[in-house]
Amino acid sequence: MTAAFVFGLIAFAAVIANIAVRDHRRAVTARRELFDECQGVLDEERWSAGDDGFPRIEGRAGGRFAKATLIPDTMVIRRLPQLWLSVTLLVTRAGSPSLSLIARHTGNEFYAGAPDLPMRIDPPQGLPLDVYIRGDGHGAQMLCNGLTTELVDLFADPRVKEITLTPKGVRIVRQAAEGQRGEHLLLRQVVFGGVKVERAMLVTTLGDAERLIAARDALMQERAA
Amino acid sequence: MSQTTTIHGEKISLLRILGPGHVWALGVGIVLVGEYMGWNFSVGKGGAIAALIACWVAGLLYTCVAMIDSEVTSTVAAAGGQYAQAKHIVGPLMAFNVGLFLVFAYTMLEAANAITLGYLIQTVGGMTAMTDAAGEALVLHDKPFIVLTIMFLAWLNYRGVYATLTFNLVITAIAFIAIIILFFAVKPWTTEILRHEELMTGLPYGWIGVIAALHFGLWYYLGIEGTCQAAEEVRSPARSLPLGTMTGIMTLLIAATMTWYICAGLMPWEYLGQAVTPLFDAARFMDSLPLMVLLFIGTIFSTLASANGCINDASRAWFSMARDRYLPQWFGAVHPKYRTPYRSIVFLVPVALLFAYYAPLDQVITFSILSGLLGYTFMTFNVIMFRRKWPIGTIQRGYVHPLHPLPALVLLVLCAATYFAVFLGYGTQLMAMMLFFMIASLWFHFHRYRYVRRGDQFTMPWPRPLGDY
Repeated sequence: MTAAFVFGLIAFAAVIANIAVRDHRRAVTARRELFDECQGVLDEERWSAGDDGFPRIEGRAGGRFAKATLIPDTMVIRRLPQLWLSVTLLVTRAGSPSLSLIARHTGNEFYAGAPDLPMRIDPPQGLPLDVYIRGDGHGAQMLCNGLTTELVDLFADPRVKEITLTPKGVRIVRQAAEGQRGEHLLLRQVVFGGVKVERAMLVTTLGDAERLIAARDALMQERAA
Repeated sequence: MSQTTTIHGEKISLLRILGPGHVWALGVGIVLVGEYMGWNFSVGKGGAIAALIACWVAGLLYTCVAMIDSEVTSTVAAAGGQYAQAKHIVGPLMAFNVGLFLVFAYTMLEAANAITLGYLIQTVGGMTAMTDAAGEALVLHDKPFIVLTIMFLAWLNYRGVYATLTFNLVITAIAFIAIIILFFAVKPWTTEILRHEELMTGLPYGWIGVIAALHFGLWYYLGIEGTCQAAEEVRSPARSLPLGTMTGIMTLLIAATMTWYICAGLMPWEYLGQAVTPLFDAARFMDSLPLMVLLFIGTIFSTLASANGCINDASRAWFSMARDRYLPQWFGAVHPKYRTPYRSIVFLVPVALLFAYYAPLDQVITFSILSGLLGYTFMTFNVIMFRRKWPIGTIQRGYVHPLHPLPALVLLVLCAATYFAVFLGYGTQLMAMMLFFMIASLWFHFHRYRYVRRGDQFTMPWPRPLGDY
């Protein structure tokens, strides 16, 4: 009886472990496919994936270096896991101030650049009051005021989480998916339920970043003149 | 299924309505472990009847918690829970304390789960009467399993290795179904197995025993308020928050009564009141191997699932405090590869180990309950301050709880009664914990507060508060 009990227990544990490993592998595979609909959006694109399966694409957009990554975020208690799409366009503008804005700031945005910037900036008229803004000086305040129209337009989309402009480039972080409630409540699982990053979302975000760069360039030229 | 909701004046459709599966998960999944262990210490405090009364009174306490929390959560960005509420409504010192309450409640619960798991394996090892090659009886000790459990789950959390849906459903369903099967196995409609008439002894310590039992009565529901979870971009709809939590409480009330009925009819209250694994013991009293196996697996799974969630939540609360500079910023780091708050996870491992290794289960549970109780006490004056600073109509509320301030006052009275209950049985632990929070508060006020970015603490787009604050 004892041997049968122990054997049964080991067999049961093996079955459960097998299910867990199989499910985990499936989840990692599914994550690698998150960008599948975005093939061909970037020129000269190079694909890679981390150990956790979340993919990244690097390439060129409009002649500029572009990078799209996915950031799983489980850092805030009593909030569902988030999957952020981070799109970066590199364009060097020496002397341009650094400015970073976060919507619905909780303090836990580990991927954001704002906390590292020294000066808190009040949201200009038109932007929601809960947009948290930091910059590296008064130039950043002026840049923020000058880009208000573009920023208001961008933050009108509630999926936009973070916008950062630095002398090296522009980054926009947008919500790509939200974890499923039941799975997270039960065992703190991160299950995004077979979503794929829509091609249109990546294209739109790249376009938004491009427009921000153009607006900043215009503003800087205007100031220089 | 989705519904439209509003944020920043925009209509967007993102949020899934709670389905029946979610409601079940809310009520049962999160605090399932409360059925498997801990609740029965209330029987030891005042007898079986006292435990049942305590269970129902605790249900009333949690109904107040659910009503109050639903209103504040539907207004304050629920992300961050009570910690975020404290930052916005009371201030950094309160937020610091609430953060600590959360960390301790979860870490002690994690330790309690590990103790239960270790004890169960030791018990089952003893029952199997294994022998070594020389024919000597092998004795399984609980301590290695306690350490292994905490280390293994911490490693899982550090790596961010997540299993997925099938696995979750299998283990939660087994833990839940085990209780149902046990309920039918004892044939509650007959007196063939259950012996309530012989085992019920009234109130052995009188009504003071009922008050003393309140302490562990909370264990059935501890953490149910965590069901008020926020979506990132969408405020939870007005109805789903109170509905989800209230349904959960009702489900638990029924499940708790069932569990009590089985155990109180099988075991004398003197034994039940100090059992580590009451449901597994109930299966042993039935002398049925399949039931024992089922309840063994149920206990293992529910404790593992609960401990896993505790490590996750405690580390995130610690991480949040570090990000807000309430603690050294070093803890606010995220692993570059695994995207987990790895320093917070690692830091809390020895804390959990220390308590799980050296403290008895009832004391560890007491620390967890006390931390939760402090959080509920905070909610009473938090909601009163909230209503005074931002009265109805000044900001948009997803849900307005009725009869304010009655729920807050009832909650305060019940919290006070529970403190008294803790004092009756665990006065030293109560004093030690209060002293700890006082010293921590002094440290925060005189040392750490200077590092806090005061202007960054308030992030809600609300008008200036009313009153003399």
